[in-house]
Amino acid sequence: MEPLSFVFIWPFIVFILGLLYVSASSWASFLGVYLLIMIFLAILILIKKSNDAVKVKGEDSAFARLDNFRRSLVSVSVAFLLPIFVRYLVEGFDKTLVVIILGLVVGFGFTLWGMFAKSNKVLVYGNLFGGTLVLIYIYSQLWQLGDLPRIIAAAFGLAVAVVVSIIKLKDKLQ
Amino acid sequence: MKYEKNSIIKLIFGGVIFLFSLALAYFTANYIDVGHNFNYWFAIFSFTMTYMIIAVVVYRIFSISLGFLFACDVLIINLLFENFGKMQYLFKMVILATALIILYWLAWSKLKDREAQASTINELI
Repeated sequence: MEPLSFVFIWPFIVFILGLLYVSASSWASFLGVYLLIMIFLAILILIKKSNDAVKVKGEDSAFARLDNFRRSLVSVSVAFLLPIFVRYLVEGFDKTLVVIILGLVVGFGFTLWGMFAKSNKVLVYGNLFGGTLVLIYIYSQLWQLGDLPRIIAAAFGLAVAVVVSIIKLKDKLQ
Repeated sequence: MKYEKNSIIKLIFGGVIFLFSLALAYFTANYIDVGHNFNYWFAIFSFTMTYMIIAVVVYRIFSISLGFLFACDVLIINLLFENFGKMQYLFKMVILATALIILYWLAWSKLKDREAQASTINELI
């Protein structure tokens, strides 16, 4: 199994980047172009950051750089595939209230995973950025849907923020 | 030195397989689209699937496997690029969901943090 997964990683990453390009360019508005520019910039920034980190740690070898490059690409792919997936989910079900709420759950779920997970940095960065983009997309869609979805979304956001504050950010009395 | 030489030969053969497999797919799809009443994109899709199966079957021979897999990438991205806009949202969603699931599995199992990887290796030793 190990050699098989090793062989598959790079072609799969290339496929994912192609899929990202295709799905972002099919957005058919300036948003698609904007998304593509963001993806490109995110990849460049992540590669620069990870190479700097490798230099600081003193592990500056071609293998370490390649590993960092692969990690960066997977993070960026997760971050940008998530909002595109939620967009298709919302559009596919004609922007019904249930799907909007599901999108909110997905967005908050992944953002919180990215904020509070301690292991697997690749998924932490991907989820944090992807979840945030999902939330921006969902809230941008709410204005077209009337008052009730807006109220529900605001209440949902508030509830999540309060619950997370209670669970994770409680000050302990000495 | 010998190891490096072998790697270079593998890469060259991988590249040759990649180029010839692409050429075979496109020329055949073009030929059967013009001469016979057969859908061009369906032919490309059939080649993609065939190459993928071959790549999985011979995964121990890296040059063949990688050559076919990268050819698959080009074929499937071309196929999606030309037809993605016409697909239904549900179908697009399924494609993206599958890609995301595999991506999460990959990140979870193969791209763990370096410290975690090192400790797992130490435990195994």
